[in-house]
Amino acid sequence: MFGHGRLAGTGYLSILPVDQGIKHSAGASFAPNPMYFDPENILRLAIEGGCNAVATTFGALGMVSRKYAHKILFIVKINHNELLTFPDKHDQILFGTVREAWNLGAVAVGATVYFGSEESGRQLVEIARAFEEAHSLGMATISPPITPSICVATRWSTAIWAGRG
Amino acid sequence: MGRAGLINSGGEFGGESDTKTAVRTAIINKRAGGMGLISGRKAFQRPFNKGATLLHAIQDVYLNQEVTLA
Repeated sequence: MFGHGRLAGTGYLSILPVDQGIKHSAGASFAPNPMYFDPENILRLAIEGGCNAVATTFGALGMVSRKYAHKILFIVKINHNELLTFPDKHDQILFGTVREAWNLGAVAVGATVYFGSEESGRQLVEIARAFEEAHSLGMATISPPITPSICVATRWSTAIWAGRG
Repeated sequence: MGRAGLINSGGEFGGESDTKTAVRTAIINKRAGGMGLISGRKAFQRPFNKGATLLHAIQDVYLNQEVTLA
């Protein structure tokens, strides 16, 4: 991952993440620029934008992996909250397996844990197991532990990212 | 850099001031010893070319050797 994109060889990463299609619904995410309803354009943006890698969903990457897996590095976001059901839920659930991410050509997987939520214990165990498998397949792991502006270091992540979702 | 790389996220789309905000976040991340920026909505909720330009602006912070560790 450190060897691709405009930041290749610098030790820094610039990643384009798009999982809001599930998390905030596609309508809310892509209405400002409807061209991204076609996931191929997400990958084109990551390439044109000089990113080290693109992080998005199983579905988006799987649809275009034959065409792009050798052109831009894939990170699969393996769990999501989703607002497609009613009433709304606030839980991160797995949408696929690490082996599936590996099979579609991804070099890394990313997963979110909502620290402090009632579900965080279950999420931690799920993701620890998933990351163990990813590491055994030679993949990197990235986790955004989402808490209000606080970043919690997790012992099983290659890298952590801090944010507010 | 520490033992675990810290990547900061860009946050939601905020309009024309986004490039400034994203570059500021990148500078803070780099000066604090971070490992990069992950920026989505600021890049894809605007026209394609402007999104690519915003990503380049972030990367320019990391390519600029005058931005150093604090």
